[in-house]
Amino acid sequence: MPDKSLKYSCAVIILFTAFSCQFGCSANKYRQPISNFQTATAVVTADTRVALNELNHRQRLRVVQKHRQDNLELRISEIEASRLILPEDLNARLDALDRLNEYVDLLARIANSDAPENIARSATDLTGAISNLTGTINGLAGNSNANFKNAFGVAGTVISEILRFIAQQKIKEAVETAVLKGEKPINDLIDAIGNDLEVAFLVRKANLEIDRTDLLKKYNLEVVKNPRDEKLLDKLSEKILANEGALETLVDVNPRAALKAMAKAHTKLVLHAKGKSPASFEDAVEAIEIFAAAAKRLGDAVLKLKAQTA
Amino acid sequence: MTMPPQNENLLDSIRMISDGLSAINYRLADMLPTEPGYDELEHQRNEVYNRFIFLVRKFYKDSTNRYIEAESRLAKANNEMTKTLERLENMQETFDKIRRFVTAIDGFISDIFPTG
Repeated sequence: MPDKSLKYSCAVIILFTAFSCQFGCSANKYRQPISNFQTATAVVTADTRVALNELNHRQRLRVVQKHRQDNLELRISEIEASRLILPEDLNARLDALDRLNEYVDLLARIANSDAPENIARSATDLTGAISNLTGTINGLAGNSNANFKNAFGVAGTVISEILRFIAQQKIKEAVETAVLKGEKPINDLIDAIGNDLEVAFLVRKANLEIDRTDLLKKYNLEVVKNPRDEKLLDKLSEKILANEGALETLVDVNPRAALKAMAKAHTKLVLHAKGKSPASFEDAVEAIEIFAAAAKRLGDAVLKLKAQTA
Repeated sequence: MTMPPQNENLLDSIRMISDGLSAINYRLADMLPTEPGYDELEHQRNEVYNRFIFLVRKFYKDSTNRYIEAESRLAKANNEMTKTLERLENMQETFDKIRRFVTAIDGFISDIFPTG
């Protein structure tokens, strides 16, 4: 009864496709939120790199400028002593940031993997090739193989659907396992980066406040001179204004908010991987969106401050 | 590895000194350089700043281990993810290899025993 078995097989395919979409397609739901998390993380890690690299650069600049201003002799040991962070300590941080980017990139690669489609396609191609081979062998024996080919075609579709489903499940599990395994190191890293950047922010703030005091001092000493240097006063007043602008922008460069949002987004992803409820997934998506917005604000502020203090 | 308590204290000290520095700088910025006490306050400010920078250096030095620990654990997690991706790619590759083999056998049989 080939017709009956064909109908039965078709019903199996329809039911299986519906079932696999119900469960298997859930692997795809991670795509967009993880892509957003990846983009926002890239902004934060790039800003962290800039902030850490600039720490020593800015201190070096201050030492050289201070020596120049006070007409003091300058030695390389004095320039080197201006470092806030030693090269080996900086490298340890940059390596960890590389690893963090790698983690999020791999997570995104798994979530965006085409493996289920490719595996299903390869499985279909394989069953097609087996079907052809069987046809060739049957042809040698002089048998008609139309029914056999039909049945083989249906079985091939079922097999490729099953394999697609398995691959989708594997991807979903891989994302969840990766998120769970990354929980502790990522949270620690976010906390460490947050503290490092907060300290860098406090150094930047202290330096800008000292610059403000020094500029005002120079301006106030010059303005009472007779005759006074008008060009110098113009230059100083411009610098005072630029410094005030930088101090105002600095408030937005405090990375705490973006890093808190990052930690929260990651925690929500972990909670979803543990609990797997639709509500926890919605929470994770929302937290990732907040993180993405905070990272964008931070990135914009960093660029603005860079332009103001260039 | 969470932040060791001594580093937590160091961070609190840095925050406190930073607040103090801000207050001194604001006071200086609101004084004329010729006012009595200006030079002394400026000297104190420089002393506090040096202390602040000393603690900042110590803080960065002491927190490096947290990065080393996190980096090593993340490297392990990344390694596992890479293996998962490879396993998925291998699955597809295996099907493709078998298909190529079956197609070759099919072609071989057709060439040796033509039915047409």
